[in-house]
Parts: sequence; structure tokens; C-alpha cells
Amino acid sequence: MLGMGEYAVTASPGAVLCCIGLGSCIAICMYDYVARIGGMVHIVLPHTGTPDGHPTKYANTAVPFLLQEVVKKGGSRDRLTIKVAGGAQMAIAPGLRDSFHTGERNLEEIKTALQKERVCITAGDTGGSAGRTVRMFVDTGKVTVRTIGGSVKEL
Amino acid sequence: MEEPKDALREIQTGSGDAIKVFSGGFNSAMTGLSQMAGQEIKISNMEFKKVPIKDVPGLFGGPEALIIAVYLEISGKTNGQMCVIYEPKVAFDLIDLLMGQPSGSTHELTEMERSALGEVGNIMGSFFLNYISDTTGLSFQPSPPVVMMDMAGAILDTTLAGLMEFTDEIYIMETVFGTNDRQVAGTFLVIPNPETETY
Repeated sequence: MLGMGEYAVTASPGAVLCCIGLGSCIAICMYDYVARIGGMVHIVLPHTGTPDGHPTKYANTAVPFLLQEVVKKGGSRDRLTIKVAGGAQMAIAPGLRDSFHTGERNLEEIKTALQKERVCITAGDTGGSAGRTVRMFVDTGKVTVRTIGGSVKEL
Repeated sequence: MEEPKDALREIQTGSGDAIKVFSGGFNSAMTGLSQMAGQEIKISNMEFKKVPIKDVPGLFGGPEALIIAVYLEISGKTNGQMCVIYEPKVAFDLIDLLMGQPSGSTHELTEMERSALGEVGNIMGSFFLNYISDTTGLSFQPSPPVVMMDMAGAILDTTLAGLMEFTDEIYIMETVFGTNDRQVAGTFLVIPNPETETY
């Protein structure tokens, strides 16, 4: 289970990587379907103002970081499927000042970072106002997203 | 990191005065609630706790646990957020209590229940902040509240994320309040907004 700003990369077939209760945070899942290597990072904020030694918390640094880690483990960029989930805006009300749109900004930043790396998103489930739990099954690369409504969908 | 100075931040650092202010604010909130309900509502237990930020969702059963949160923003000398969290069943009991209905009448969150909880949040928030304003001489206003029912992790993540930059722990207030024969338990978080450091 990956908390805020945590990541994991594994080739272990029995492993299930997950991020539980994502609001504006986004889970970035990368899977090499040939080498069967899965990586996931739980990003929290769009970008870091100053480097602070926590690259995995911020979208702009987490993307290249995770790519690097997956490659280190034996994965290859050409064989990656990349899926994202999360980035909701939980509190939606006219009077609120906190329309930071963090969820939306997180997604935009991820897209920009991926473009820079010349890889792209295969599938995603983002936005809205519901919390999500994301699971990636490393043996198959399957990614599921669950919301409180109870429905589980596969990306 | 500089030592925080204003009331909201003092609450977060848990200084002795802060606890008094917070308790006073909360008692004031109960006065407001009593007026709203037309019956006496008071606190039967109030516990001020320091909790690592990472553990906050765990207090409610984990990041996937279903909670009802009434959230509002505070603006004034400094800005911040205030949030009260209930287990869904407890929130429904609160609505029943306020409406003079038998416990168990409310069992889902439709527009009406949302509105009732929002009103509760509004009253408690206003009375709480008025007390703080009166006591500190600084002025704080609440935003209209938002009522959310979803996973604990999701509801809290944006709020806690910003705070995690600056501190590892947060002060929360666990309370039990109600009438003489009916009580509900709620957890209050008051979070100053780290970006607005004004002295």
C-alpha cells in the first residue's frame, strides 16, 4: 500500500500495488507487459518549487523518477503501458476559496512530464468528486479502480 | 521553520493557551447548536490529541473508510480550514437528535441531511470563530460549509498534503457532545494554511 509520496517497482508476480483513498492525489501506474514489471507512485502535488529530496510527491519529478526506476529494474520504455487514476476535486461548493483545483493541476503536470519523456497515457480515470482506490496486479498488469459507490472498474 | 504566532497556529502547536481557546470556542459552538436545536446540547468529553499526519485517516478506520466530513474554510488574519468528521452512522444520529427523531430514522445522506449537517457546521463554525475573534481580537470568518461522504483518505488528502510540507503532526479534538440522553462523537481538525505566514 503506497501512502502519499510513496512508490514501488516490482517484478514479483504475486504483488498487488495499491493506493487507497485518493482524493486530489493521483496514482501513476507503469507496466512493462513483456518483462512483467510494475511500478506505481502516489503523487500529491503538481510540482515542487525547490528540490526537497522527495521527488515522488510531486508530479513533475515523480514521472521521470518512476520511469527511471522501472528501467533500472529491467523494464523498457517502449513496452510500457501507463495508466493514471485519481485527481478528483473533493470539495465542490461555490463559496469555497480553496478551488486550488489540485486534482486537475496534478493531471496536467503528469501529462506534461510524460510528454517530455515521450511516453503517453494509455488509460485513465480522473476528475470528478469521488474518492478512488487503485490496484495494480503485477502478474497481469491489470489495473482496477474502486469508488465508494461500490463499483470496481478496470482501466 | 519560524515559530507560528497567531491563534490558528497556536492551536496547531498545542500551547496551553491554545487548548483553552479551542475549548472555549467549542463550548461556544455548543451554545449555538443548542439554540439551533431548541434544546440544551453540551460537551460530555473533549480530548485534545497530537497525531502524526500520516495516521489521521487511520483514526477513522483507514484511508478507504467511509466518513462524513463537514468542511469549511476560514479567512481572516490568516487563512485555514476546519473540518469535523463523523462516522456515517454517528452523523445520522446527530441529525436525528437535532430533529427530535428517534435514533435510526436517518439512514442516508440526501439533500435534506446534507443541508442539516451543513447548517450544523455553519453554526458551530461561526460560534467557534466568533469566540476566537472575541478572545484574540483578530477577525475570522467561515465559508459556507461543504458536506462530503466518501473515503477518509480522499477527503483529507489535499488538506493534509499541504500541511505535510511543514509539520509531521496535527492536533485534533475528539469530542462527545449531545443532550443528556443522546450523544454523538465527532473529531475536529483545525488547520492553518501554511502559505499565509503573516505577522
